[in-house]
Amino acid sequence: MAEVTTVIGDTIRFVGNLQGDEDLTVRGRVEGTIQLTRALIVEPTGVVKADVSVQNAVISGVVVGNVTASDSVEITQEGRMVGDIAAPRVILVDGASFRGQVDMGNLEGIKREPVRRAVAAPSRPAAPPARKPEARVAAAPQQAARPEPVKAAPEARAEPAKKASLEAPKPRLMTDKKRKVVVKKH
Amino acid sequence: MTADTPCVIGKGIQIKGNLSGAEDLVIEGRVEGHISLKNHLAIESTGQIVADMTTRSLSVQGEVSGNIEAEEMVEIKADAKVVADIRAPRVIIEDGARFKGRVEMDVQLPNDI
Repeated sequence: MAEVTTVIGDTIRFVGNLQGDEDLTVRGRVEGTIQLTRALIVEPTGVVKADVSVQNAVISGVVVGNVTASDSVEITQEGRMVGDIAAPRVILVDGASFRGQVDMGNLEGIKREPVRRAVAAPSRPAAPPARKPEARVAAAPQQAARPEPVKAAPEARAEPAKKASLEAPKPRLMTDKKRKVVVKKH
Repeated sequence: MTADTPCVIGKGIQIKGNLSGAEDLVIEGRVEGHISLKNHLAIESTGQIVADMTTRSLSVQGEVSGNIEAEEMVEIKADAKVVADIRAPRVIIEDGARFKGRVEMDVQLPNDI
């Protein structure tokens, strides 16, 4: 995992929209939305009640909400989740508990989708059909022919391409309107 | 699996209809219809199932479409391709498996969520 990691500690409760370009580890509680271009790690003490859009998610705590990942979602042995998952790779480890829908994109093989798109846009059959899928291959090869998942967040999906130049990023963290940090005492 | 060799539906076999029994079963061929089994059902990589299934436990390496209900557990192996709604107390999806559908397990959430 990466050099930069943000940790929401055990006693932290965060309510609002969380955005970022680095890994996030949650040991406390987050409610609202989470959008990351990197990984979300929910540790066993962590509770996330949010719609999540990330590259990777590893869930060992509790997640309630929908999770969209451009790469993978793993629910570990201790993980508990209620909500829908959209990701090309979804891993459920023995012991994990989960209730919801899983969408790994197309199960029909990789060739089909571009063909369908070409049919869907018959007005300009010459060049365009091939283009869109190619752009995606560059961004994330596994998704080449993936149909748009229902709850996809397009910005988050496009972002992994930036990863290479991620060394000196301007973390555009928490630029959102409604945010509130509550430190909870036990 | 039990000590006695399980019943095998071989690669070249196709079945349409209802399949039921109280014995471990390995499917390498194709089955369409309903499967109701009191024991373990294994669908090998060559197996193709289009059926609703009720079993004690299930492991899939092949292709399945249909609804799955298992008393104990469902294991979707790395090479499997499954389109199904699954209801079971334990569900395992290995990395590499392809799955689409609903998973229903009991989830114990904290009270304050």
